[in-house]
Amino acid sequence: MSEIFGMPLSVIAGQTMLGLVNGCFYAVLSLGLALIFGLLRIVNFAHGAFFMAGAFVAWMLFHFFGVNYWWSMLLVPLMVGLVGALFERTMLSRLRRLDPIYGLLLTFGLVLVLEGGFRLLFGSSGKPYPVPDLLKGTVQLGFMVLPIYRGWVIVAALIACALSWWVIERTPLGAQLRAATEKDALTQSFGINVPRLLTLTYGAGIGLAAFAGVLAAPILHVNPSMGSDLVIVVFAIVVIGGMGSIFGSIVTALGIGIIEGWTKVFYSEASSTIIFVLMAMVLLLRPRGLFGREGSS
Amino acid sequence: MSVWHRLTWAAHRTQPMAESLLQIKELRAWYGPSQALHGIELDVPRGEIVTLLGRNGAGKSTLLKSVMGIVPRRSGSIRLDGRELIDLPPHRIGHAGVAYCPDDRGIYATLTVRENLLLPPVVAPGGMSEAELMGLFPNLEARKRSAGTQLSGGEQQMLAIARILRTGARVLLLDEPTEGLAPVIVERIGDLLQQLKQRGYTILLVEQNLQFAAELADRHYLVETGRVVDHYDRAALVSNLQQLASRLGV
Amino acid sequence: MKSTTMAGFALRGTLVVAFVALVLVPWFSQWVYPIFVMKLLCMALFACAYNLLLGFGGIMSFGHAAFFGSAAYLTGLTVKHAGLTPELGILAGTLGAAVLGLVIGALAIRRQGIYLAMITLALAQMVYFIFLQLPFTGAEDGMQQIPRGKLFGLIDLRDDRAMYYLVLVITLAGMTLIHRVVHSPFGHVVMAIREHEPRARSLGYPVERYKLMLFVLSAALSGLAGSLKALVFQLAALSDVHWHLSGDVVLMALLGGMQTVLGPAIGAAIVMGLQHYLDAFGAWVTVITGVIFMVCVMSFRGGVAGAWAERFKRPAPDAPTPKS
Repeated sequence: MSEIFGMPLSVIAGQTMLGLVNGCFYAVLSLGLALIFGLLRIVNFAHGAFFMAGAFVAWMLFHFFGVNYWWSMLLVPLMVGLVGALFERTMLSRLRRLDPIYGLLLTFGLVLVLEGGFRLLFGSSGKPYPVPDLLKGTVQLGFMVLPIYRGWVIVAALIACALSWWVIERTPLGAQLRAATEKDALTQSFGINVPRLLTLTYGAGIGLAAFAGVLAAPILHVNPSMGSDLVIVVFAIVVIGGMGSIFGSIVTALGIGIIEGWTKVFYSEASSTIIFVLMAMVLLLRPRGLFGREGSS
Repeated sequence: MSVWHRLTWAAHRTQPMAESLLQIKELRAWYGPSQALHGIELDVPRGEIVTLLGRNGAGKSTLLKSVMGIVPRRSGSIRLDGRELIDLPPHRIGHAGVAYCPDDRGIYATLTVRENLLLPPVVAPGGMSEAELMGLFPNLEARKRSAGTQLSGGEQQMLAIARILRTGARVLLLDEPTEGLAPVIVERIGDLLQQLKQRGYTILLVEQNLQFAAELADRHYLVETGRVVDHYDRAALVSNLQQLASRLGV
Repeated sequence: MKSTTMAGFALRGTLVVAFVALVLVPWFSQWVYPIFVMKLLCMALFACAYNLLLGFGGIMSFGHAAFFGSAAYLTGLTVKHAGLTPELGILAGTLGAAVLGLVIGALAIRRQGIYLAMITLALAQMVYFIFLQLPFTGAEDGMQQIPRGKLFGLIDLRDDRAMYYLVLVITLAGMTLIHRVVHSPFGHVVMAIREHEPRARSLGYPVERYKLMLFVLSAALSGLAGSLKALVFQLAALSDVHWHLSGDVVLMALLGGMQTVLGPAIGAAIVMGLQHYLDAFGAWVTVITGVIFMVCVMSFRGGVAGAWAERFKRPAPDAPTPKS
């Protein structure tokens, strides 16, 4: 059996795959975060909480209404995204004129409400969510064994990212989004309803987070704190990748996931902190981020 | 209207005014605590080209922005064809048929030339089609996939005007369209504006180029420190050109 | 001028009453639990130290629990494992927090605003994970049975009364220090930087150095609060470095009033009281804290101190009216 640095190839390949899967979650989440930040200039602390909400709603739909995974994949992002859009329209939008710090604080408060709320309803212990029948089992790849569901996660996440990229870069709606991001007032003067665009974008970002939650439900135990630890990692990723570029966030996220996986193989104690060490290094060497567009503000 | 305004109003008019399309009364505007407009009064008659003249910092750009609703705070009355615009958000004013071209042209770097052209939505019938505009501005057709800001200054100005011509808006607010452009391009723009006037557009123009304004416009308002202090129609401007030039320090 | 002296009088009066009340607490231990008040004082110091950076310096950190908690662990380490006397333990904790403040601050101030907040959050999370894995911290159980020891080798701090007065003295000293800093030449420069950084820079002030100094000071005083807390409860736990605590201290500053020195202390009292009385209701504490947070951000940004100041303020004579 071949080895690298004393580790069998199958172990490395396995961890790389797991790292890639994690990276896919990071990618979908940082995509939503970057989308929201780019247009609304708000750091959405609640992103992790909506991810958690997505997983929980999927679980509730299954547990109470027998709705299967595939329907949840469609319904949950819409439902949770709608709640997000409502939150933006009724509360977040009123903070537009203030220092962006207040937006962060409001979404932080929302995290407490969401996490506490779900904890009240369902307790702290994790709830299992079954892998859908179609995706059960594993596939033999020669150098490693791949659980089919994890392969699906990679595919689904990449499709979501590709779709988002296509909407932003290739459609008139995306052009409006890019225009509003670059010059808010002028874009409005053309007759484009930018406030409504902001609500839509926030809802879409939340929908992406909820989508990631549904994807995660069969892998992680569905519990109220599954989002918050994740979102801090995603923040670090976004600082590393630079907030200006959506493409940059996705690439960074995938890369970080893989690096995290390798760290687990070779130096497992550091695996939870490696991301922050990388962030510190990027801050020292290239403050605006690997793909950052704006100056170090 | 104050006595001072009434006096200057009549000062340089030799002909009666046509029906007014855009009526501005008592317009005030603030950027935070500092006040930029102190009670603007002016009329833009239908189908005319009207210029705003004045030194830098007089408030001309602020005036256009205030009509468009993109200043932080404004008060007064802005009536378009009788309809009050002062309380409307910018996107509703755009929808009412007013289009704005800022002095920095406002071309988006993150959009291609074609995306820039097609961005402003059609708000009324009668605007030019994409094909017509590409025909009118062949330079833009050739570069339609480039990023907007890769165009030269003159081309960007053409693009900025072209995109608002597509919308069907009939009232155009142009902020220094000829600034920094070569004389050949300035002439082209002048011709274009004449054509637009013949098509029935109403244009409110901020201009530093006195010659350009004198040849083109039907009416001129002189703005000083946030107030309209003088009003000339075409003939009056020509006869007062030297005097005005020295007043503006050009 | 009348209203300002009224405000000043009311404020001074309240402070005197509060001071007397605090001094008398150990004598009324059947009504007010001294340990609770000690925790309150620690949190008040923590919140005021935090606000030195946020309200005064205009720099938002979302990871201040790192300083509070690491000082708590350090104090526990020196007192429990190295057997040092408590004043040395407190010193060790405070210095450790200061050093951590130097490291985190130096990294964080390379960016501004939102980015800075996220960086502090991420670095504090890293500190959390480090403490989670270090052997002496006792992970989820925490570092327990930290001995209070004898202050200067003389005063036995196991007596709650002695401990209480130590905490009271140090807390008041800390707040006095904060007040002094705010009104010092250093403080004036910090305010100038906050108001208009480019101008301060063009005047020749080493802006980064000032920001870093403020950061370190805030971290050190937060650490002081953490060290005290470790001795009061004789426990240092992971919750002391968790981001929930970072969020709590932000809420205290916001709720109490970020624009004043003592406002955050009021916020600390309110938040602590809330958490204490709602403790029996489990996750309701989190939900209600979150709701209060949101309400504050939406419509109560001046906090309690801000509302108090409003009551005594007369309208400024030059306020622009729409028809000016």
